[in-house]
Amino acid sequence: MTDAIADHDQMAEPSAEIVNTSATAHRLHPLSLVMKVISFVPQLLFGSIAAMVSIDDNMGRLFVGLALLVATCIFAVIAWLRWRKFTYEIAPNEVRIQSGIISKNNRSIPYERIQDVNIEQKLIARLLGLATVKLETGSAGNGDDGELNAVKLARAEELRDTIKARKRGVALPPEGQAVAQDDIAEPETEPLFTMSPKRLIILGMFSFSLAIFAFLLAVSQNLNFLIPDDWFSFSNFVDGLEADPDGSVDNVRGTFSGAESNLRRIGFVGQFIAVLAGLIGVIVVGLVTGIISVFVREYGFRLDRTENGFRRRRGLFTLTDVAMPLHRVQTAILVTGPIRRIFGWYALKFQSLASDGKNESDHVVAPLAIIDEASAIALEPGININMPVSAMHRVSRSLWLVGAIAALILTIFAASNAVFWSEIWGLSAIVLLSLPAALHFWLRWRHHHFSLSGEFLYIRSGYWSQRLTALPLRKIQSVDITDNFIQRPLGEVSLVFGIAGGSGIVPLTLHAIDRELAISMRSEMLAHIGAKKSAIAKH
Amino acid sequence: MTDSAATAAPNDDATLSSGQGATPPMPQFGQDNAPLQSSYNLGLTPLHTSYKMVLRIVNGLTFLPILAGFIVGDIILAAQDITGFGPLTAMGALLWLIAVLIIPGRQFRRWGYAMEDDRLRVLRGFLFRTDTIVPFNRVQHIDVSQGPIERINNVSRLIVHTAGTHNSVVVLPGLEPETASAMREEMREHIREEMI
Repeated sequence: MTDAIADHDQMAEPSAEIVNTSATAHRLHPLSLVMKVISFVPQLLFGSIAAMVSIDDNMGRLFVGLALLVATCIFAVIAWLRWRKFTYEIAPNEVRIQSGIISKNNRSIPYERIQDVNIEQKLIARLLGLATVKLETGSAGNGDDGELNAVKLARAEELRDTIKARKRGVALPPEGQAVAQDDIAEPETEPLFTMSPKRLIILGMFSFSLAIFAFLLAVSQNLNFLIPDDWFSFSNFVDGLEADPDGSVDNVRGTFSGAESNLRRIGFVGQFIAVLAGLIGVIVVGLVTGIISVFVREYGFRLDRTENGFRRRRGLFTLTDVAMPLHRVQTAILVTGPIRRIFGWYALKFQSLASDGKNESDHVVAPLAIIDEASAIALEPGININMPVSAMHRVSRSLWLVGAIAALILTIFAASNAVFWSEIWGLSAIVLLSLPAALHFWLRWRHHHFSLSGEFLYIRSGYWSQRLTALPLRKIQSVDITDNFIQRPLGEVSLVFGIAGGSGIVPLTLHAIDRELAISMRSEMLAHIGAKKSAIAKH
Repeated sequence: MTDSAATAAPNDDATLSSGQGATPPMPQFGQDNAPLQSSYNLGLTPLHTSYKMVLRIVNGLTFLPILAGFIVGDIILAAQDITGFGPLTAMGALLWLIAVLIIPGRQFRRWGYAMEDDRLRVLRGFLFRTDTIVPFNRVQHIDVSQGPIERINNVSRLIVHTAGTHNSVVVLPGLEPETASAMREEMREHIREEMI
């Protein structure tokens, strides 16, 4: 133990040049204050616009304006005080962060506990040349880790390299010193995977989204005080055409030499063309939305293999730079959609302890890749995702039969209670309602496969969006065998796996398998964990 | 590793341990240690009988608002001369008695646990049954806790934390405090061994 501390002291010397004062506290960059205030501007503008619109007398407006000004000043002062009281220190054994104006908080994060050092640049930060350094400790909550928001980009990279070097120094005996020095300037090697603009466009087309219409609807409902009352009424567009026989419409009529130009009289073909044009318009908007969102998220996607893991950079406005050590990869997940699998496109994700941003629980390492590229990336942490469906097993048919029968009973029950009950109606209702349900359950069963092969458990699931999960057996934390009152008489159970990271709501589950098979599979999988004891202990 | 497999499944035949090769293991396995049979806890260690009392008190308290609802409903109906006072209250009382007298016994006998050489096994649930195995070398940390109702009845609960998102806590209630501490010590011993 004392030796280890001595090592840190030796370490402190060379690193002192990297982060110039290794044992003193630093403040964040002063421009981060500007950033905070800028981030407050949209709310301020919104508030003032709302106030101006809703209040009619000038005294009231003046008063509200003053109040907003005072609020801004208070906010700025608080931000300044926070900035003044926030210090961080790269100590020999830990990162120390002090914060708090009234109640002081003193956090120390030992280097051994720091899993990842991520750098993120939001748009405003990029314009100011700043970056946020995020220290991930692998604690379950997202907000509990250290965050330096923000420092100069060069400083952020320096900090990341220093922290990583220190971390290495803790893990390694004396020669760690040399390693650390080498590690500081990681040479840029060939990336493992990149997304070319062409691929981004392809991915964008698969990410077809009509979210923009929902957004426009929401805007029109919330900001309708800005829009004339009858803006959305159909007559506003159609009657406008009709009521203006001498205007532009007349020119059209002239061009088409007497053809009926009124929308009402353009006939069936015209209406058909109008509907078709509308549909095409919607599709184009959907495609463009998809492409834009993909470009914003994935632009400049680059995955590198670093000494101990992966490094992923992406983003158009918000740049993120995420590090992921190999040993934190828990499972590899290969995902594909209904259309993209026809073209052989897949996305590869790694399930890791940390979540990838706010929305995704898994780390995307290849947003759109062919199978060879994906399996090459998965092989880096030693996961073989090449598992053809033909080599896998189906689960019990009860997985769909139970659901289908339940749907049938439910619809018969519902139909027999319907007011309009007649034989034809009832029968067609039963067929129309229970058939799709049965089809859904059948497809779900047909696409649920598993295989226990070597060091991995493979589970395929989903028919619309299909996923293949490759779970290294040594990453299993716990195994449940569950059944319910329907499965029990059938002699069937489900296996539910506890794995670090990923979704807590939908754990990895192998549905509807024979009870004896489940028991024997579990003993074999757990035996594997026993064999790998020492390897895991390091993690 | 064959040791650990054997301890988990005493009747394991050789086909199991040889299943590491390329061929995926498929159905035909012997009828070895079937858990989740209709017998209540498959011969695993039952919880301490005092836990039945804990379940009675907990159920009694949980069903109290429901009983109160029945009584209030009865009063309202009686006040409007729809029915006389009595039937709803009687129904509520019957339900409450079932929850306190009959259900705890059933809940209790579905629980079972086993401390094996390298793993903890916990069996629980009535309509939805779960049979969980946590290998000791996957345990992150362990709590032994005791609530007020448990303290009166002198039982503790063992809470095992794993790194898994699913099953991040595995709770085993109704242990004698000495048993719970002994189990904790044993698991802790294993964790320390793994770390070295």
